Amino acid sequence: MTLKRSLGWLTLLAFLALWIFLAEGMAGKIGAASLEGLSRVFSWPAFGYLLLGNAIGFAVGMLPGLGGPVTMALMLGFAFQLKMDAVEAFAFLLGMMAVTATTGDITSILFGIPGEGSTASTIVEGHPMARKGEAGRALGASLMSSLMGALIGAGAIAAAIPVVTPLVLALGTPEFFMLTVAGVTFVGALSGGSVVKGLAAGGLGFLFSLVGLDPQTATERYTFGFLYLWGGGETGGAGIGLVPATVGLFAIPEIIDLAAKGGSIAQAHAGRLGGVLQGVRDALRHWWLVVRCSAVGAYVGVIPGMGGPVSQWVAYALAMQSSGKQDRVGTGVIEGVVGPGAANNSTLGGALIPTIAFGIPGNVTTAILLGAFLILGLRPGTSMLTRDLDVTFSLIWVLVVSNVVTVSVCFLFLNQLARLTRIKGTLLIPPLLLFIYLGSYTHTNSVGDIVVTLAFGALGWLMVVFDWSRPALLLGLVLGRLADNYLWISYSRYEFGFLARPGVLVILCLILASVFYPAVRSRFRRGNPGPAS
Amino acid sequence: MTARPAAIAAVAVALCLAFGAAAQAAAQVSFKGKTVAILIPYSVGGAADIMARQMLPFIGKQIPGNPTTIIKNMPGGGGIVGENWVYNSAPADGTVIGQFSTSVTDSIFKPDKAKFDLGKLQWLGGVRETTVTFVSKDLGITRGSELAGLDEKIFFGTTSIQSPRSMLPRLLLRILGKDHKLVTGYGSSGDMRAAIRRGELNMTNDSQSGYFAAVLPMVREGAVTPIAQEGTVQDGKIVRDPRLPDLPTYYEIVLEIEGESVRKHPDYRAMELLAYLSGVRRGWVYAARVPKDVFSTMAASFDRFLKDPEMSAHFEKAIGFELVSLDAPQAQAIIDKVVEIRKRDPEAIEILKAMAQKP
Repeated sequence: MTLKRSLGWLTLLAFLALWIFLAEGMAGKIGAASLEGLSRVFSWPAFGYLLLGNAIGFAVGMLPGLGGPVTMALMLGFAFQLKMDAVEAFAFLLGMMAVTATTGDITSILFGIPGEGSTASTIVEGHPMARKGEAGRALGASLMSSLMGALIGAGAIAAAIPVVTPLVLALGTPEFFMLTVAGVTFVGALSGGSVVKGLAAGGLGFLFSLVGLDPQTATERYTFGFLYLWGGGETGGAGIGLVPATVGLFAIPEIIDLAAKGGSIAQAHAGRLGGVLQGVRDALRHWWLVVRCSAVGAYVGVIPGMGGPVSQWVAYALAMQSSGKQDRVGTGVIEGVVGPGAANNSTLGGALIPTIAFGIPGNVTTAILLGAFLILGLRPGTSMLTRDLDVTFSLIWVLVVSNVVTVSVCFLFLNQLARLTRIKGTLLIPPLLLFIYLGSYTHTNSVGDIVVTLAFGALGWLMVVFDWSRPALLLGLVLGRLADNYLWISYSRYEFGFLARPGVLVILCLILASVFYPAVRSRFRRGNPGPAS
Repeated sequence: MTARPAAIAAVAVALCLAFGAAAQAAAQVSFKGKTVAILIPYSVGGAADIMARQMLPFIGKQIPGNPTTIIKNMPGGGGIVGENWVYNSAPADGTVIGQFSTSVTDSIFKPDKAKFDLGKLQWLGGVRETTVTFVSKDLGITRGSELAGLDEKIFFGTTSIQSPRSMLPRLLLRILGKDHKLVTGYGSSGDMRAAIRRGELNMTNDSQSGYFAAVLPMVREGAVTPIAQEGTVQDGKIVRDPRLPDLPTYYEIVLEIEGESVRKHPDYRAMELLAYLSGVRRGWVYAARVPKDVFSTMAASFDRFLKDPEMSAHFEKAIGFELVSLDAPQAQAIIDKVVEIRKRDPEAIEILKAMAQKP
């Protein structure tokens, strides 16, 4: 553990040294632009729009299925009609987007239903806590870590400004492929009791991800003649949407369970539902985990195609591994709430880096934001890091201010929110079902979305009954299509030569090290029994 | 008694005139109290969707009766689900307008899935856009005609093998006999811009709006050079887009390098066909079932919309160049030409179909 930790510190110090070297001479400029950006965010009416955006994002995040990206696209038209200027529009749109992952965690913890596609991981440990009557503590921990994650994500943009070219352009498609392979190795940590079952579930998710039009030759794969399964984009795409699948896998079994056993969500009648402050202390106590998960989240955001759906699971796996409580998956391990809570918030900051600097959106959210950039007359590119640096900083401040505002508001109502877990299940089920189906339906506005939700609901229920890992299946679903695509591009560009690229080899070594490290360590320990860490 | 037939005739004529005038007045259909939907056959947040959402306030005020206007997204099948729905199932009262980007190529490349007759759609208007091919500075060429002397292998990036946008540059490289590799699977133009910066690709192309918004800064920076454009169809001829007067078309480059005889080459005829296939970049359509008077009312509304100076000013600011629009007869003429070529030159069609199957 100490070796790992010192390596972590070494990397951090090396990055700092590089940063100081490259940022030399820019410091004054960065400081001035930062203040200028801050004052623009607090100017009227930009600040009013920011609060409006926060309010909408608050609701959208909490409502299951209804996602940030869809709502943001709808709000884009609203921003045009009000003739907002660039900073006002970003205060509104980004202010909305910035808080969805924060409030999405609340729904995940309280009801076991993902508020957002990127907050499903918080369910795994957070919801069992709610059932044990510790909803307050789980919410406190998740909100605090969300705030910390958002701040680190915003800081990542600022830190990336001097080093943006190597950061974004050093890795090519072959390296992205290797990173998805690295992601697959996390299946082990997500599989709970049985690694074989975990791998099988991951493989099943992988297969599901292949349904649709293949991205290279537009060949139909497992579409069985249904146009719905071609996917929704202009060039086709994934046949099985992440949102309907995620909602189905987690929400439907939860609702069946709630209906079958009767009573309320919180089963243990702990004397009080509070414990919010204890949760906050938990997040602060695990500050190093929060920092690491936020860094992972921010970097995953930079990689094209990845984003919240990937970073949350990587962070969850990381948190469970470092907690040493892998044998207690799904019992309410607090690290498993803190880690993903931070990562899904820092991802937005990371995803903004290539969008701002090169006009390369990393995911759907930033693609929509890029559209807004262009319409509002901002041209992403190096000018955003020089001439328009104040605009870039106003984006950073929007992320910071939005999360500070939202988390503060949440803390005011946390105890009331936690009390929802004591409401009778029969009263909760009808509105929850309504929101689940509405949310899924926004994926493509087709009845196919409902069918996918129900089918994955049935699958999810079976997986719960037979103790198979749903997170492993979801990780396979999000990584499968990316891996398929990156592998094809790498091969068609470099043929097998891509395997010999230095970046690929380095990542391969890291993967092998992380896979074999536990085995080597345990053998080493058996030989030299020492103090347990 | 003899005067009577004359009187009857006079009354009949008068009645006819009166009805005629009434019919004339009725030709202006009102949409008062109704909701008019623009149907986008793609997901929320894509380029087509964002454009339509900006258009909405400008179009609504031009339609008689000031109806409520909304966007309806019906993604699926790469656009085919929405296209089929507009043609076959949407209400026939004119309250659903399709905004199509790929209906023309869909009808050719996916005839068994596209359940509509291209020639029978009623076109309300559209916008014209060219596409621009650009190369990485590492390739060391500054003009399209320098391709003739280029020995380096070309890695051309695109989204999918069926991407209509990639076909013109692919045909250009094929006619010139250049060693090239088609690298498919990129998620978006943004991914391809990143790949060209990393040296993974050395050639790709982008839509005109993408070019002005995101590629032009790279050109100014010296990272890439534009070498060719698709051009645009004007009065039955393929010409340079007025917004890019200094950039030669693919056709000019091929003719310059290969000479006039290339015009008879089947690949060149396929290239010409492509100019018409994408002649209406985004078009607004009614199904064949929508009555003529509703169509003419809406076509006139779109005409006013496309000529609205406030709208032009907004789009110029948003996309960085002047919007070039097609009125209903112009859009219809381009589609008629596609239908005609399809009957006349099946060989050119087969070439494109084969290209959509393998690189």
